[in-house]
Amino acid sequence: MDKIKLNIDGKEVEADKGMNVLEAARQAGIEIPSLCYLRHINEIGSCRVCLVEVEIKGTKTLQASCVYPATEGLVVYTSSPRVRRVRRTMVELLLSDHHRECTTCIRNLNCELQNIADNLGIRNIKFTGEMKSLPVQNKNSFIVRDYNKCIKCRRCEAICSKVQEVNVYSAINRAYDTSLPPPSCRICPRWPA
Amino acid sequence: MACITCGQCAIACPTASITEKECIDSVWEALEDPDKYVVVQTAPSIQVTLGEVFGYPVGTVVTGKLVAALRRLGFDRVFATDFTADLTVIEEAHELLERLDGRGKLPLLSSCSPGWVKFAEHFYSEFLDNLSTCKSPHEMFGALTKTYFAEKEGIDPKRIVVVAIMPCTAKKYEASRPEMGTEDFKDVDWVLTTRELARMIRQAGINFNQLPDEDYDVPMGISSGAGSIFGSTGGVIEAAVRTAYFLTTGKEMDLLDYEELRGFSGLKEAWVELKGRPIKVAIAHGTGNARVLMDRLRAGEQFDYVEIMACPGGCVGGGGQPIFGGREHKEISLDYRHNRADALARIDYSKELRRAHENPSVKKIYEEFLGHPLGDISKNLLHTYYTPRGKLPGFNYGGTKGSHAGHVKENIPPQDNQYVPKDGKVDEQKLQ
Ligand code: SF4
Ligand code: SF4
Ligand code: FES
Repeated sequence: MDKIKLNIDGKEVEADKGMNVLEAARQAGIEIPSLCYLRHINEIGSCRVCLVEVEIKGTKTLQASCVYPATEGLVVYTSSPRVRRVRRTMVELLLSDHHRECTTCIRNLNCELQNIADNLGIRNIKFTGEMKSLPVQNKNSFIVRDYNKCIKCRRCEAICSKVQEVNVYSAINRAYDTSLPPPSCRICPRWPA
Repeated sequence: MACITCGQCAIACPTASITEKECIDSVWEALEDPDKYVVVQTAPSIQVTLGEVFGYPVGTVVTGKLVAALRRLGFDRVFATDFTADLTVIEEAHELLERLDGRGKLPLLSSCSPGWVKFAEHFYSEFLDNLSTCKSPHEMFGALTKTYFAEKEGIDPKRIVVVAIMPCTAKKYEASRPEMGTEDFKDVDWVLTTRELARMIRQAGINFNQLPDEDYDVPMGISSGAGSIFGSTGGVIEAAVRTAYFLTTGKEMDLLDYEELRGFSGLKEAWVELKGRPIKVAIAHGTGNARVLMDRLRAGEQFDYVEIMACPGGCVGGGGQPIFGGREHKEISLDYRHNRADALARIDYSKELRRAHENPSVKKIYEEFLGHPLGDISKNLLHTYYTPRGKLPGFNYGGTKGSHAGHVKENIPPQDNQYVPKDGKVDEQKLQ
């Protein structure tokens, strides 16, 4: 495997060619939070929690590290003030449309979103907009689907279609209205059939 | 497309948008009811995964503490599904030999993963005759508890509640299938995932780490090493071949471990000598790999015995296993499944009893109750049939399929009010 060198947070770091910046950093022991990313399964850069600053020819841009290729000589900042500020905003945006009922949630203390919010020290959310309130789908014998807690990371879709190759989920609509239907509407009418 | 209920999406979801359907409250209710006799069974893989929730490293074997915790929760009897896994081995080994003799279709496809069974019903329904008619071990267990065990202990089967601790969401669905039971009872009343059991233990305030090690109850808690390795990919075939070899030669196989059979490459094949001829076995885990294998079968390739588990890694990677949402490097990789499987293999090595047919309780149940493998009683209680369902959810394409062994008349329900297309063909477009 060809090796390349890049600079992350002022440290010379070696990585394999073809790696993304997120993997390269983690391999070097530098942690960047991530949410939608699942190695080899879901690499779509949708949540923007893994934002870093990338410097090319003196210009710094914000990039999602999980989909940004690590290249020779790249200069990366994973925790600059700008990164911390924007990353925080991204998580606040995710939370602004998330039913935050942590204490009674089945995933309390075992939730990646909660974990990241805690790590970033988010105490209040300045965005107050529309909040979805959809019925919880539980009319089958094995799975409960609560759209109000979905952050549209599409990991469910990725694992179902790429690993299991069953292709149950497919995202519909766009932006705020994005939704990943089943298991529910396409399953439940005569479930269990 | 239709969902196969494997629950992998519930493991993948970082939040609580997709979760298992909890039935903890119903189990508490049964435990609190003095009239009910609550029997619990634990799947082989639970003993290597439950510890993770309580801070043990991945792959720690906590069998003794698991049993102790279940007793503290108030279950009347604590049994192991490993016992009926042994029974499945024997039934399935006989089925394999029968089919090798030309009675029934080859290849024999394993049927103990309900996610895979549903996958086959939806996407490969032309192979339903190839599926072993054996119910999955936990259903066998339920059926025997409410017949054999009830009779032996003199308990009215109506009073018995069977709770299964499973690594699996598909088993929740399986338990709700109408064919899994008789008119009088459901084989298994409640299925709890590993995660739900951990929550019950916490709710009861049990200090898991301080529990003493206790043993399963007899008779249905005795199991061989063959039963344990059911919980990881390759285990079913390995166990069944051990037994089939003994049945045909009367000799024990010297070399017990087919190295090429276990482990984590998604798809594997091997040749094994049985009945004086080499038979070709194949193993796939994760339905993505199963698709590759089934497409080869469809294209006409010959196999004799095929084991498929719906979840990557087998039960140790099941949709009901612990989730590490709070950890820093959360990743769905196969690494931790590997450690869990190694732990199951260690249990197998450590047992004196390694072959299913040596299990004294299994021998006894055949003497006292079942008669012989594939006999009438076992066909009735331990075997089932399958339904072609088509690729889209919500439809039953008419007719049920059960090949020779489980094809018992009483087992097959009336065909009315099922969706049967007139010309026997299905116009998929119309269904959408
Ligand atoms: S949608 Fe169904 S088939 Fe797909 S991963 Fe989830 S449980 Fe499995
Ligand atoms: S339901 Fe799917 S898209 Fe929504 S948060 Fe869970 S894994 Fe992500
Ligand atoms: S983890 Fe990189 S965008 Fe979500």
